[in-house]
Amino acid sequence: MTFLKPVYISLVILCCQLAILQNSTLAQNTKSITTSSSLSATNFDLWRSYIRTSNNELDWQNLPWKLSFHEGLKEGAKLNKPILLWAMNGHPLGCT
Amino acid sequence: MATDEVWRLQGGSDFNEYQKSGGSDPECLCFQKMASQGHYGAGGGTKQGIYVCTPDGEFLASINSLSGNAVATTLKQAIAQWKEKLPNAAATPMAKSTPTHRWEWSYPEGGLVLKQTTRYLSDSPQPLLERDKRFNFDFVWFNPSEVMMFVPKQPEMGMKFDLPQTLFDRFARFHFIETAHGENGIFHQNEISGKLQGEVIDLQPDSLTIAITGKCHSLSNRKAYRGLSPARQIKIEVYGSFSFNSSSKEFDKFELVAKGRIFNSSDKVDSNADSRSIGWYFTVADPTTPSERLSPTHLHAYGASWVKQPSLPLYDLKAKKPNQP
Repeated sequence: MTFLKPVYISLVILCCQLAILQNSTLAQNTKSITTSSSLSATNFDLWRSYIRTSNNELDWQNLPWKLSFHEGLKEGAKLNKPILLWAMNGHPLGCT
Repeated sequence: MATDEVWRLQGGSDFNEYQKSGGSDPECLCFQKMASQGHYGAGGGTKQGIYVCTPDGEFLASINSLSGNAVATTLKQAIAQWKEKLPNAAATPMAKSTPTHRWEWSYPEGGLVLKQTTRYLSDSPQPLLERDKRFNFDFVWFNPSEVMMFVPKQPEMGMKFDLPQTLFDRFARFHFIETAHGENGIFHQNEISGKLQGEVIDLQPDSLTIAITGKCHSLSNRKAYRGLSPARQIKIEVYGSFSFNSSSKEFDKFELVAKGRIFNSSDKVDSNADSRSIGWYFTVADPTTPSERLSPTHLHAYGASWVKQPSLPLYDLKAKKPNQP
């Protein structure tokens, strides 16, 4: 239905403009916030995204770690394989 | 592949002292026997590192290094040792290593478990555009009766209230600490001040949403204990919210951000000189993910009656210097 084509194109253009406006507003908010800015509903999402980890920061956690030396020994005996144990002050998958 | 917390495995500061004091956890003894042949030897002190051993606990190789190449070389040596020892047919038996105490056994089923991320914040003019790479994790535990402290007994829309001191203390003493670059010391009760406040912002027949705000100020001049001392001074603001299902007594959502500055002095400060920014984010941990059931680093000091303590408290053992007989 060719009469709908101009309407469709107008909607696409409007959506693009809204997205650009939203991104520029977000960028402006991001730039104006400093560590002295008080926490509030307007900047909560930004600080949350900053502090929490991204997927590529946690790649090493996706390995099939057993969570204790004992569990590692059990697995090693089951598979008849040596055990690699990574031991740190603070559990490596927690606070180290 | 296994990971574990080494302080408990090595029996505190010195495994010789642990064993002389009657320490007998099979998992710890198995580790101590194995690790005493490793890169830090049989003396006291830390046994941090990467170890390779057989299923019956026989040492193969170990290293403590940040060099990937060095670790790879060590692993290759371990594999070569394993191949020499590998019997032709019989499987290697498992070492006697069933633990008699693990902190994870105090996991508060039906309570609230939060996953904590701590990260330094950039102090540049546009910090949100420059993410600091240093971060760390921890977990916060509250048992079911402590969970009910988050919720007013007769909530009303718009109601404002102070959260009980127990909840503030848990965060302030054990979790609003500088761990972005590594483990750090906790604050004592008399070293913290502040409070958490709630406001009911949504109320339904079987659920309510509460906004949380708060401030915390911590000061300490203590010397290091077990190599850990808390930051001299931290000033923090807190903001977040949670949704609580009053039928199931569970949190549908819990998010908290704390942001503040760490000062190198415990003196009164009027500016941000000699300080740096830090942030914490808390959200509900996934109880079905085993790694999110790990215990909080300082659970041993929570002082909560529901935390099962080991028969031999490691922090009460005398600390000896490394290699001291």
